Amino acid sequence: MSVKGDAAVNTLARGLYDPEQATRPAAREPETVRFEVLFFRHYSRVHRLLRRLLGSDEEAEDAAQEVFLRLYRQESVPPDEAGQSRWLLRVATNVGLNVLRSGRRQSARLRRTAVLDQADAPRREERLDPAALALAQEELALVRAILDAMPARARACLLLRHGGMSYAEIADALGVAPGSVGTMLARAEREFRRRYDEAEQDRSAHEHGTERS
Amino acid sequence: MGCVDEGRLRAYLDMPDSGLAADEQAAIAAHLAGCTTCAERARTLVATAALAGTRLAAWEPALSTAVESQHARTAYARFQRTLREQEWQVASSRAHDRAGVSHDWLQQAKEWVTHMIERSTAPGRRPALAAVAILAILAVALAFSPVSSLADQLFKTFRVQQFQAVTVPIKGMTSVPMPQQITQEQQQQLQQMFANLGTLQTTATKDSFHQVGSQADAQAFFSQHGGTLQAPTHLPTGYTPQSAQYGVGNPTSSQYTLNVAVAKQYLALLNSSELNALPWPQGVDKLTFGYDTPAMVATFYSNGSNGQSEQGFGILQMANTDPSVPGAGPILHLPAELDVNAFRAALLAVPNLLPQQTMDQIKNVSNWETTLIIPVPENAVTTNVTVKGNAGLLIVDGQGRGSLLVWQSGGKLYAVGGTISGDEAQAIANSLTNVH
Repeated sequence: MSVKGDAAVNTLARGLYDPEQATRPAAREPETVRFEVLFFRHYSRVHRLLRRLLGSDEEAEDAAQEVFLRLYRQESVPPDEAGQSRWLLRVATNVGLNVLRSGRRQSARLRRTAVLDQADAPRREERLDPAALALAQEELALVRAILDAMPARARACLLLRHGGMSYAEIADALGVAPGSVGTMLARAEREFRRRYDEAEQDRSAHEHGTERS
Repeated sequence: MGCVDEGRLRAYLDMPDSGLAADEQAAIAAHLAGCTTCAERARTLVATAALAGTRLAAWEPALSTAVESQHARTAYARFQRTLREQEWQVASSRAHDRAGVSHDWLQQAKEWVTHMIERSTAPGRRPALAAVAILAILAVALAFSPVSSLADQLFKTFRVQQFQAVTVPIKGMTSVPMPQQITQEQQQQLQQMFANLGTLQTTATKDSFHQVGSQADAQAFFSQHGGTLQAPTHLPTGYTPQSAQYGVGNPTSSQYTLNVAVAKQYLALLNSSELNALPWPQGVDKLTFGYDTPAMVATFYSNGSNGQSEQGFGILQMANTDPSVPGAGPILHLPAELDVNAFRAALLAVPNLLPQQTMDQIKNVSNWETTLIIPVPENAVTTNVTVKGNAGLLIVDGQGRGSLLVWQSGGKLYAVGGTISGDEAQAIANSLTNVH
């Protein structure tokens, strides 16, 4: 059977052949409203987290959809907002990490424009001259390259912490003990700095070389 | 204390977000005051963190609240689209299964029995319905069946001439009390016996019901099986003939063979005088119940989406299995040895076989032998209607989710149902004309 019109066959079948089914409300009906509330309550936060983690609006939106599908399929959702937040944080991080690790992303990335750069462009243009803007774009491209080269969990730890999350939240999101967040973070920052310094050296060497030629 | 490990030192620098305990915080502060190595390490950590923080500041440009709420709305619309697609895939496979296999009442009865046996033998539970388990097959066959007494050599054959709704309070059905308590040992015996109770054979497979590409294909299939395809000339607003999709069902045949001796043993365990008084035929070891469904065509219409859920309806048409006899398929064959009237009366006399309300309605069905009893939920509204001069039954869901109309004409069974009003269902039914 194909997709469309199965409401009809379901209704037929429910009424004719499956009296128990007929008394049951159609799947999810009573929860739809509640789910909508959940969606709007948490979407922005989930989206922001994924946007930060992935550095791309497009990827963040795809990943957020996946997160809410998982929430929808979840048998039991925590009743309190804090519990829901924690659950979503954890799942969103996992989904984000999966995206970062997927090979699909690596090739797609090459084709995709830097969405964040575009999103930010009008705001920066107001206060930056074209040369400064070009420099800012270059800087952002550098940061992106460094982050993309880092292991997914180290990248996540770094971005989540510098996005303002507490150690407890990060521990929850990454599924590690709160006591090990400091270690992960220190390592990730050191790696970021090392790569950044290397890139700076390359850049200045390159500029130096250009001036001479 | 000794030198501070890097993780704790880093956490110390991120107080209070890192959640270090106050005493640990104090201990680290004291250590740093006296240890130049650690103090130097801390300074390096601060510088490294600061560099990362500065460089990452531009990483995530903030979105305005307006943009974010727009994002959320767009995302929600997209989410609903995805969900619908996925739900339809699930619903589709379920409908497929149901159409192919579970159309079979006897199969369903067997599932019910299995379910009841499982329930009745669950530990820590009052045995529920163990007695009814064995009788479910008979109850379905005798009480919930298309029946018409047209005896032939081997079977009493029953077909549908009219319909009657019987309210089924499902809650009641799953919590019917046992005639009496049975012991654990007896439960085990019951389980063993159930396996030997009977065998089901069916030609139905999950592919018995399948989709075809066009109306022409459906028509060709149907005429092969002696049917004439009909299509509605009236469609509710928002539906187009182009949205029609076609599914066809092969004729199927099923047989359940009941081992009478095992059934009697089983019932004897329950010490119910009514059950032990059932009029089993004398000198018969096995009773075979048959159930045939004719070829059928289902046409589905959908009107796309109304933003919340897909709307649609379907038209079911069955071929005429044998034009020489009145009534329409599906056909039930009961063993000729069984005194159907007596057995039915005895079954209906068993206390708690079905919820009392349901039992009473079944007892009161006039012309039960030609009446297809349709179990409907308690809140549904049923009306007797005529479709092109034939008696039909209209069932409208109490919550306004949809309606179902069934009728038979010239030995052919029809149904129209879906997320449409009762009036629409009748209008569609009355507009059916032969496809040429």
